[in-house]
Amino acid sequence: MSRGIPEPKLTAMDAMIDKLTGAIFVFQIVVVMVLGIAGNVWKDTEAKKQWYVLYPDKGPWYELLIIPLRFELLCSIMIPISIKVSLDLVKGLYAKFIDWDHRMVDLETSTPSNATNTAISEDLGQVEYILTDKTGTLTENKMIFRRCCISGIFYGNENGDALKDVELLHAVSSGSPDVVQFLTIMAICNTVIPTQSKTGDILYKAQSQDEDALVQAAAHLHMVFFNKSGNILEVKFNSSVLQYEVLETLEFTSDRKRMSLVLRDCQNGKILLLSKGADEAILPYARTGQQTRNFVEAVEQYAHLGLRTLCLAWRELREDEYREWSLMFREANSTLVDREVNGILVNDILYSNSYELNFSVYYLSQWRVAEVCQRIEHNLEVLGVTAIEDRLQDGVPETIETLRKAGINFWMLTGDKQNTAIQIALSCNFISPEPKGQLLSIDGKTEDEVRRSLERVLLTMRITTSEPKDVAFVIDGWALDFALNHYRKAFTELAILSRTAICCRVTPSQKAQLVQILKSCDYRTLAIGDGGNDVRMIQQADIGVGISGREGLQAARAADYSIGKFRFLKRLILVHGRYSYNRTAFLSQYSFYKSLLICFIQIFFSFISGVSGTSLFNSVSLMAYNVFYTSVPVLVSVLDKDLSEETVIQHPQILFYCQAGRLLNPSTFAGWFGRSLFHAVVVFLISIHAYAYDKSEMEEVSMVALSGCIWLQAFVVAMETNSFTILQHLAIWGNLAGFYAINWIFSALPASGMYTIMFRLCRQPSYWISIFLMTAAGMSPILAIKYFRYTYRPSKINTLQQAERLGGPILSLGTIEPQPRPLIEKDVSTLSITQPKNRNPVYEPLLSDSPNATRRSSGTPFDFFQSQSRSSLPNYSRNCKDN
Amino acid sequence: MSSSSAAAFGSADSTAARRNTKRPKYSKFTQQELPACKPILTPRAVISVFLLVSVVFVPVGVASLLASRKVVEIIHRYDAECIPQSNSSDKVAYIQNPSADKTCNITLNVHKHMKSPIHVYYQLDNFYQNHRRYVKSRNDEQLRDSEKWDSTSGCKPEDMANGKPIVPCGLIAWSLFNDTYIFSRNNKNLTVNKKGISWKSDRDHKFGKDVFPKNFQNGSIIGGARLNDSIPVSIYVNNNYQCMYEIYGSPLFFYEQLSQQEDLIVWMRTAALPTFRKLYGKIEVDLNEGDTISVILKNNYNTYSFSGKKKLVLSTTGWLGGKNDFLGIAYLTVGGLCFFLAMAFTIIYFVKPRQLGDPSYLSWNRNPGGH
Repeated sequence: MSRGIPEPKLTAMDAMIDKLTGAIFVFQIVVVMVLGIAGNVWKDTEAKKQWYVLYPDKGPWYELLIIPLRFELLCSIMIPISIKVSLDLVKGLYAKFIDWDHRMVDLETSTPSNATNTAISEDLGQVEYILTDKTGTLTENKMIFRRCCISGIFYGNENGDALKDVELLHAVSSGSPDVVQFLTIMAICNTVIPTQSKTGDILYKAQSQDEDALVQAAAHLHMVFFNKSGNILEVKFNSSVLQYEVLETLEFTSDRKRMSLVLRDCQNGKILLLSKGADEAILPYARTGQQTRNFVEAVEQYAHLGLRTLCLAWRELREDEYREWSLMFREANSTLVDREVNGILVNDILYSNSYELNFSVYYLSQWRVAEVCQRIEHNLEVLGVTAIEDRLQDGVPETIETLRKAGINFWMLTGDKQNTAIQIALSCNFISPEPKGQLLSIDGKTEDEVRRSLERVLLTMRITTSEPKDVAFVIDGWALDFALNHYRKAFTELAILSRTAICCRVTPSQKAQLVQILKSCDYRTLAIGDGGNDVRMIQQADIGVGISGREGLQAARAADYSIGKFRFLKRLILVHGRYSYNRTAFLSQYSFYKSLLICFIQIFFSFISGVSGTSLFNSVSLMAYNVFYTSVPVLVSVLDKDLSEETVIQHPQILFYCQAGRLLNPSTFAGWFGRSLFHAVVVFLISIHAYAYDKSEMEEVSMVALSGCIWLQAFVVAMETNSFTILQHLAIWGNLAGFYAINWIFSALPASGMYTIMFRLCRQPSYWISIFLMTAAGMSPILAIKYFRYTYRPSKINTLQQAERLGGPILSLGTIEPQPRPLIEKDVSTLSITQPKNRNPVYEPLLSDSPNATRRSSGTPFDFFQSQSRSSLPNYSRNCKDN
Repeated sequence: MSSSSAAAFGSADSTAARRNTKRPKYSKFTQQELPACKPILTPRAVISVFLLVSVVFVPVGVASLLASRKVVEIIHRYDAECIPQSNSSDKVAYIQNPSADKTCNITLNVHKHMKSPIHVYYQLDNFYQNHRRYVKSRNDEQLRDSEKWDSTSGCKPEDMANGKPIVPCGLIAWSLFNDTYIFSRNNKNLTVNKKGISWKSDRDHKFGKDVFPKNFQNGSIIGGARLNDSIPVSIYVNNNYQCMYEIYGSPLFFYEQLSQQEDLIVWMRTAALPTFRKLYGKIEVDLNEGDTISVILKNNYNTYSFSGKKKLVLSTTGWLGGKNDFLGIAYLTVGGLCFFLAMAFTIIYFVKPRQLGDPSYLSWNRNPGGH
């Protein structure tokens, strides 16, 4: 089902490196042109007098081009070709580290994490927006029937599991008619297909996990739905087999929010209408006179626990009533023929996801059917409410909190309904309850309503943007459709302003569109999902992460990274992403540094060689310089860790440096450029002064300068390395030794140009004295500057390094300690969720199993960077890249 | 009702089983947990490094400077004074006139005792031996191997003369320096040993023992020196050396093999800088303070067309080589700078102590009102 080949992804870093390469290229061209012109002028004035050069009086027509081309050749090393190879190597290793990481292995299924795309690890460290699917991503997608309320009696409240509730079991065995009817609806009012396995067990194939959960639960309570052949459903209750003939199926749509079956009870020939659906879709249509207060209470109670609720209802139809209605229903359905034809086409594009399709594309034709359905779905006898739990995955709230502290914004894109989405969002720290958080809703039935709603939310958002308040907006797919198609600008502004958003009832293509919007604002987006309906979003995002979970591997295959559980995202971003970014930042800039270093020396040399384009270094040295001497030490920077993993996880805010691109940008690059210029000056001046007069032999001066470069680069790498493992020592100092070994070998070959040179040099005290001079003169200003910055202008990274390594008090101060959260009592929390059906999103930590699933309720803003940039930038240009 | 489809329900377990074997192996490397030493720039460490550098560098600097100062050097520029007054208006014409008398007498005063061996150098200024056209204009194969006498690639424009290959070809050899010096002290001849002035490795491996000059300085323009022909034939015949006779014009010339042409070998070690000294020979007796050395030199070499200076240099040698204050001064400078930095950092450290890793510098630990 893969949709074409997604275009190759380019990381923000790669783009930056390309930009810098472009700048260096321009610089190179300028240098070549200046030197080329200077060279030609020198040739025409001075070189004519230098009789020993024997310039012909009249050269060929292309003579003017020779010197510029010589310089072009000389300066071509300015752009390090080796950077591509080095980057590919280290990127491969970053990916391997992800694959190998034992702390990212899902122990339940023994699924290791996997980096399919080996090229974009750095982007993980620069993520600004995470767009997450809900079901299966945040939750386990393991629906379990937990509680129910039948005819006003609550089951499962004591032990949290209705299936073990003695009272319910008793009611079932005693054959209480309401309970039996309730179970019947649970068992058959669905589109589940039961299959019998070889061992005689009954397996259910369910479109939805909820239906599956209900059927399983009913089976547990002795109402076993065991066969479906054609329109005949067979149910075994206790020992008797009941048969039902399905007459009509009134499908579920997001608008109707309920589904019904019209069926004939084969035992007594009665025609029954069985319905199940959302409370607001069932309770208003209750039989006149039935008290639904009980059910409303039940629904509220369950919703507060974050359970997914469904109301079950039924009624008996008169034969003539059914006849009359069924004609209308068939007629209405026939108008849907077009729909079906379209449906197949669009289905192909959008992946099969029943109601999401129904919703967006066939809304209008559905409307007609819905209207007909409406005519029969009334006067219902409400039986009760089921409550299904979709448990949050382990560690989801902490992961979201940590990542939000890291300055990452979360958007939840779900096909689920709004209420459930909000509940889940609350329970996993996605949004904060009142008074800290505020949830704004964009909805409306008509375009105009949506527009007004959008404008209102936008206005509120602009006002509250300076307050340290978590403002989130909720939008459903219907409104989103309008927003995306007609008010894209306003919606984009909203998207930038809002750190959190919940989009419910969205189709796969809308998910992808939302990713597109954020990408168009130049944000780095990460999309995480588990199902086939997330594939488009995953492919569209800068980084796609797939959860290899219950909904198959489709998402995991399409994704750049696949992980077993949502909580591994924390480690993926904070540890792997951050390290990758830091390491690549160093490696790429260092590659430019070393290329520029040698190139500057060549340029300086051209000033004392009559601007003729003579290369100071021989070709073997130049080649080996890039391939061996300078690429080996830097490759081990893939093992460098500026901060320990624990520190990073404790202070996720530090990710800001990566997000804002603080370690690789034109200004840090200018630093490296300056450093290479300075080192080139040091090496060049010392070489030509220490090896002047009688010692100024070409090969010797060349090797002195080259040795100086090698020594300096070894110390530069050493100084920029934060943690030395044995491999780093080996690579840095071993490389230095290797430099001498290689050159001694070349010096031993009589045929080579540098025969005996290195032996001669190594015997001269002046060689070693010059080398130490270059090292000291080159490194001491850099050490001084670095030390001064480190101590008196420390970056947050430096401070944490110091704290970490000196064992300062910071480690205890900064930890995320689980703080007991005062329970907000229901009646106190008057919530201003501006949504029509007001449901108090009170948080109850019941859903999460982990002990740390508590959140701070104190008023500290999440982090400094965010709030600072918010307050300092009046507009919505909350773009850290400015800093 | 869930949004999501659960198509591949049963596949999860089988994949899990299949992947079970794929569980990555544990090692400290794969987990990035190799034991690491994580140094940080503490004031103590940094200040000690700077102090250490200055403590090492200052004495080394002093030693280098002393070594350089101990070297006695006599430099005499003679390019201007060796032009007769009558020709001073057109020096180039004089130097290019083959029939003009180029002999020139200069005297050198020894101001300090000079211990043997005393190196005699000629120094050229503004001479670009490192010019790209020049530095490449040679053929190493031809110099090494007598079989390759006709390989002159890279030697243009001095590759052929009169239609025959030149050995040694190329601009470098062609422009060989040809001033000569005869030293005498108190009217007594001072022998200048011209043997062993080139690198032994060059004599043994770069310039062939059986390679003889051919067709050299035989073209339309004469560049520099002809190759050495001043050694009596008998010496070489006695030493069982092969001699080669070649008749061109008159009188008869016989050339020495290349590995013995030490002036050429020295000259062909091209200099990296436009100012350079090349060894001319060694005086193997001490020169006393107050000695007057008179030099009879042949001012043949043309540096006048590009206003290059010519200098005659007599120099003793120390452990660091010739007289060169640069290393000593640079060492003292760097040592001093490091000492200054160490002092400055110490003062800053005491005046404005700063606790490393102070959590209050982490802005997210600050009071929300604080920023």
